[in-house]
Amino acid sequence: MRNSNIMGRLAAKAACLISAAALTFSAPAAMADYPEEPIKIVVGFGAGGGADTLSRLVAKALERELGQPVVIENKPGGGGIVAATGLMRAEPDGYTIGMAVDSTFSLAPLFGGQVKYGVGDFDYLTTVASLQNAIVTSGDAPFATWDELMDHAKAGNKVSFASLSPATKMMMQYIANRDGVDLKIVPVKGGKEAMKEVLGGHMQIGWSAGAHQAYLKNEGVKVLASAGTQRLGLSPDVPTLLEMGYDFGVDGYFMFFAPKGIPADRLQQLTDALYKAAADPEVAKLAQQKMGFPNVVLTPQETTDEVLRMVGVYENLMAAAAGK
Amino acid sequence: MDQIIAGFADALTITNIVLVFAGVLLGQVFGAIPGLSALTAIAIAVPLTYYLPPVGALGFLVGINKGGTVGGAVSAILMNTPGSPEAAATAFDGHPLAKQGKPLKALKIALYSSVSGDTFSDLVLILVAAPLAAFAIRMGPPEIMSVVILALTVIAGLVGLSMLKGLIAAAFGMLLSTVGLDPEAASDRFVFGIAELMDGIPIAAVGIGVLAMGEVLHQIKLHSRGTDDTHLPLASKNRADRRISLAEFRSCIRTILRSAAIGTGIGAIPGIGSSAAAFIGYEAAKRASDKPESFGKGNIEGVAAVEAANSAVVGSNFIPLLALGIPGNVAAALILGAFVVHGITPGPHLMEEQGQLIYGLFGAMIIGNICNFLIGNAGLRFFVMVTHVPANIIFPATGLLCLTGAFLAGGSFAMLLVTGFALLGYILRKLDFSFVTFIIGFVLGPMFELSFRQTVILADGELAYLLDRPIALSVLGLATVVVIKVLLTLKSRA
Repeated sequence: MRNSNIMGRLAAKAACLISAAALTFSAPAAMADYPEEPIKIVVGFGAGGGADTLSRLVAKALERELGQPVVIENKPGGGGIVAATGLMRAEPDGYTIGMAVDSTFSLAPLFGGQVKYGVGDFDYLTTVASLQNAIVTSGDAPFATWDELMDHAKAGNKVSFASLSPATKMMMQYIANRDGVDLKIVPVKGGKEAMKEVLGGHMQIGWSAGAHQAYLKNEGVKVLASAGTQRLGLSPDVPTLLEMGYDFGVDGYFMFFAPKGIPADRLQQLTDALYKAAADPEVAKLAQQKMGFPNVVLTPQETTDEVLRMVGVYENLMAAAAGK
Repeated sequence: MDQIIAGFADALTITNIVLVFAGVLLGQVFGAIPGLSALTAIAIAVPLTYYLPPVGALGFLVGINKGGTVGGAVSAILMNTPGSPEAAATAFDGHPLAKQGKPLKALKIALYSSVSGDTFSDLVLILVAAPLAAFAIRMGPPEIMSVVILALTVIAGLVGLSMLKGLIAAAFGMLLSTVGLDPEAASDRFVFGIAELMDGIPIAAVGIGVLAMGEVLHQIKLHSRGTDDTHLPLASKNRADRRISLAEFRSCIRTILRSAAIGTGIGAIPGIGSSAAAFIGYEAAKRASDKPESFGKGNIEGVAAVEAANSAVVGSNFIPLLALGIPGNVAAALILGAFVVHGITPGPHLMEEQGQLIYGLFGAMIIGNICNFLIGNAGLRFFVMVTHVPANIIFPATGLLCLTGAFLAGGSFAMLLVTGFALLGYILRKLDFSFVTFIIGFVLGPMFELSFRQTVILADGELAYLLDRPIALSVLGLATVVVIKVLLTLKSRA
């Protein structure tokens, strides 16, 4: 989404005014504890989308926890890369944090190019929701399970795959190489677009991070495999790639992060508040009931471990792709 | 039936009517100010609607979207500064009319055509959304590629005698549209280490810069020696020049219906958008006319063709959104976000699950069209006063608004981009390169690239793949006919 930093900027400006006013009136008490200014969350995706909506709800709950306004600034681009690049240079004072997805930190630096940060440049604070990664096909496809798909492909049929990103391309290529089948890997612009191509019969299978869940009723879409480490909430009978002998699973999280170097006591206070805010019932309701993403809230340690685990997964996949 | 009545009753509460009215007003004002757009207004308004009841919230957003279609024509007609690519063609005949002292006539035909096109596509949405969506989903990469190629052939029709210059400008636009990450391998193209360019150059920055700011610079140069002249002659006092007579409207009806059908068809297919509809609608009207040479010189049919087409897209964009859950453009994607927050998941089961709410939304759309007509009719008189303001005030002020709009949409980086593209727009005008073909190339370039690459991968080297796609083939055939006709006309003129 190209055009939408607007709300964040307006809100940031409003917050600046408010904080200026607060400073004017409370100058003698300036030695108060953290936080004494509004907190800014830089969201790595455009206004109006899932990441943005989740962030706004968490921000509301965080305001209650910290007693300061929390403003959202949207910095979309490159799947969170633009926001992370900006945050890397931000002052580590606990007043600026970011929101992106785990692959912003685990995968993007491996591609090099414009990405100037590394996985070690940030503190990882908490997750707020987990994606529902799946490989899906349309209800009238000639295969109904992963095994049938593979038999179909091994019989010499080149199956077309709607790929959301270089990462999904890499993973499907890895599977194709491992099983000795040929795929037509077609780039599409996002999950909704992939659903359109699969439902319309233009592409046979596609990757979904959760967009397929609205089409499960009446067999519009069939799930062939869960690409996460666990089975999917809405398709508990479908096995994971791991169960079927492939050696990777990607869960995908919406998560909060901050530039490294925030003083320890502030960081503690911030992560405690954020942890509570991310588990707020309103946030959980939106994530689970409306967006279809489980409200998984990991501790800072668990979040960091997950990011580091994914670095390993992606490094292996890349090495396999390069060694071919 | 009960659902339909209950839904419309929900829409007809005082709160909702006020919200829709406010949305339309906001949309018209944002659309009319160069540099701002309905999209800006929607992005600002989405979080405000979290606190409103669902029908009111959606009515408000839909109202902004509708108001923007009417407002967008205003600056294109009065000042030749369209703020967005889909209004660029409105200026072709709209601005010459204003220069002839008939700004009100141009604004009125724009308003009537815009509201007619919008109403037409709303009716299609309400009556046949489901079957049309089922058809739209059959439009895969090859079909989208063909429609984009057809839209690109319109360039050939627009370049006139300076074919070479027009094509150079279009190619340059396409080249600039490749900035950012390559859609398949995600390798960088022309990014030069600037992270902000990774998602490409924003269309808003190019539109504001080349179309609006470029014209501002051009006008400032023209009037740099001048005193306090206005840039347009004073509006004619002649009654016939200030209104659209019934006979005139009747003569435009065929054009309006044709363009509304084109816009509705294109809007129902996710991802093509109102710019392509506007240009195809204009070209179709020109080809069907018995006086094609009068187009571009102030023919009201030219204005009607463009406005009916780009406004029809706004309504029919909701067809894939409601029936399939797939947004057709950025505005629809933002509104989809608002749907989700209000607990509505658009998709194939929306009607059975949320029938009453959807009929409420349809009710709000109809109210929106009525508001659009009423507010538009009242507002024109105010907008037209712009023509009385001296050029040395109006153009610098417009320039300031453009920069403000750029800042709102993308921060200080967008202001730099807009300034750069304003210079480019100025140079294109000075050297007589078509900035319109430049913008068509820029807007359609990425769609062409993606659908073409998808088609090539899917076809897997077999041309026979296209033989299975009759819709794609017929659209490609139509594009060939357009090109041949243009070449023949050029030959006979040379």
